[in-house]
Amino acid sequence: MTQPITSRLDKHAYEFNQARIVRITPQTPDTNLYTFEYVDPQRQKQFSFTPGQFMLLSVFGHGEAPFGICSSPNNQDSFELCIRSVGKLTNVLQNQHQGSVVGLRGPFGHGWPMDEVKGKNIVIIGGGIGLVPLRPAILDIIENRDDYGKLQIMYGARCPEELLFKDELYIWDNRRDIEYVATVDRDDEHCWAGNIGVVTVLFDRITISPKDTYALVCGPPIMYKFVMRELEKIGLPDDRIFLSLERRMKCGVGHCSHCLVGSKFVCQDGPVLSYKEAKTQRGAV
Amino acid sequence: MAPKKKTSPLILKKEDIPNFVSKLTQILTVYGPVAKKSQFIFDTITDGTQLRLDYDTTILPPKKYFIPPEEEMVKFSLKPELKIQNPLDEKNTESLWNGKRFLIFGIHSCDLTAIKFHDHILTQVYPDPYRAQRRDEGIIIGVNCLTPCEDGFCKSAGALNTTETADLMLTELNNSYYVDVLTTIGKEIVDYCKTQFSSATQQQVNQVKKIIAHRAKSFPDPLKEFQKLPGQLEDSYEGEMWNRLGRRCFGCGACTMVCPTCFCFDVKDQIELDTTKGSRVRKWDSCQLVDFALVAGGHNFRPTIPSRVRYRIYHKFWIEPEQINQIGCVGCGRCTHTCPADIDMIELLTEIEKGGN
Repeated sequence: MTQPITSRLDKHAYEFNQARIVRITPQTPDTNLYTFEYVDPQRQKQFSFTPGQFMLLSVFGHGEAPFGICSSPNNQDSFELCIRSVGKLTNVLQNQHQGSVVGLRGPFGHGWPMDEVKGKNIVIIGGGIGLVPLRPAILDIIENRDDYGKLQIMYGARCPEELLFKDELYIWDNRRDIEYVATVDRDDEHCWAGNIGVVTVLFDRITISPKDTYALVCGPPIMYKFVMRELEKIGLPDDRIFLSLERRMKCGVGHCSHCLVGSKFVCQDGPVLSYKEAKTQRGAV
Repeated sequence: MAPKKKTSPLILKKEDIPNFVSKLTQILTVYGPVAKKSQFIFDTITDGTQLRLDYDTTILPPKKYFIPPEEEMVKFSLKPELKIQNPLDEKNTESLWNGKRFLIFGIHSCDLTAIKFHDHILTQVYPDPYRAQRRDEGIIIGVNCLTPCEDGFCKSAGALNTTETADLMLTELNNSYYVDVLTTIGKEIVDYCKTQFSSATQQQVNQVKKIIAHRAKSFPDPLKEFQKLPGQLEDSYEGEMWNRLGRRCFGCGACTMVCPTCFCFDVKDQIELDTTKGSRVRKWDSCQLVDFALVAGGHNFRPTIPSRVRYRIYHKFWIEPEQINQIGCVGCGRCTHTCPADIDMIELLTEIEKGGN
């Protein structure tokens, strides 16, 4: 070897930082919005991220898992992760309380192409918990509204109770500079006056012009195929469609190989890939 | 590091090997091939006579010394308050590495190729700090294979002639070993045991050249179009062969456990019985196991055995060449030898060459 590998080590990769839960805001019966602050104020000051990037959260003794950052990239004081309890780690997390300290690594990966979409029209399509990594992009666009063109948001959830950020949805719905449409798969409680059906039904409720338009998409794996079909129908070129992929991850830094799709590490090359890129990777979409 | 001046080749008598190894064990931890029932394994050498340089292949590759089956990533204490010992904190280097250098004696070219492969694949974005530490501390003495092993196809895989990553490379020559000194560390090792080495004569240099040239002819080359595999895989992705293979495969993951290039790992937290502290450990994982691509909520990206078998082959022969321009297979034949369902890697790859239908 010409150069010892250890001379190239990057501390960032496996460095854990402690962060405190400063607020827990319930969203649905099984999903909470957690607000974190790094225990080390210096670390909090230095922390910045691109919308779409993710963190690896550890509850020591119970494990580590990746979660998309959910807050505005312009908020320097704290950051948020929105987490649904569906597994071992997330169930433990739900029992944590304000003041609990967890371990965090990151931010990792490539997020939404916020620079590329400046000045362009943006369609945001979120399915279920997939709205979470899209929220920083939405908040950034709202906070710098003049930097971007038209903003259209399409959001689908399984049922009305599972809609996230309900207060904000109301605000988005009422803003003149945002076109917001939502749907639910079913409404057993009969409490929903809006659209019923999967997220693709919203393509009939909204007019998307392909000119100067970018689509940012995140949702369950099954959603992509159908949404891509609709966007292609509209004539949106595949290099202006971006999707955030979800995969099992153990390391976040391209070592454990759990998240590979084709030759791309979802943790490092993704989680956001252009549809043009994703299409060529076997098993991505 | 490469030697400034090329050290001329040396001769080490076979009868001196036990003494040489024993002397090394005084300053280093030495690992090497030893007999285990009818097979061989890499194990700690305490006495030079244990070393079996005539081994054909080992059950596990020497990978285990660079990427242990289980290793601690980070230590933490939970009570009275959370404390994390970051692995790369300078104060904590001891938790990563005990400071004792080690030497692996007698690695074949296939396994050397695999080490080189890991040097590339595990440093793509961030170097893997755990392996990097071990890799930099490890000294490697390679040995040239002169007779093919039963299931190997290293010649097809382009691994037969690898000497890279070795510090010293041995070639059997009558009653001696011909020693190529490849690095400064190799030179240091030789200098440490100076009295046991003599300079090779020009005649011996020529003899070894001849042996190596001749060896190429005696090794099987069942897959002539190995380098074309990525393209062929593209064509066979939807082929019926994956379903046929999937029906044979038990999904046990043994092939990945014995593979010198496989490096996937799983991460688990372990808490000590008094619940005040614990550690996060990583363990070898296998893409052949059902939960490898399972995500929260129950979606599995590769739920069936055919999809997982295909993934393994694609990862090695298509994805990895695309990432680092090196195939993730060195032709050691361990997967073929180990497979309880008798899936033969050569047969499998031949089928891909034929189109996979």
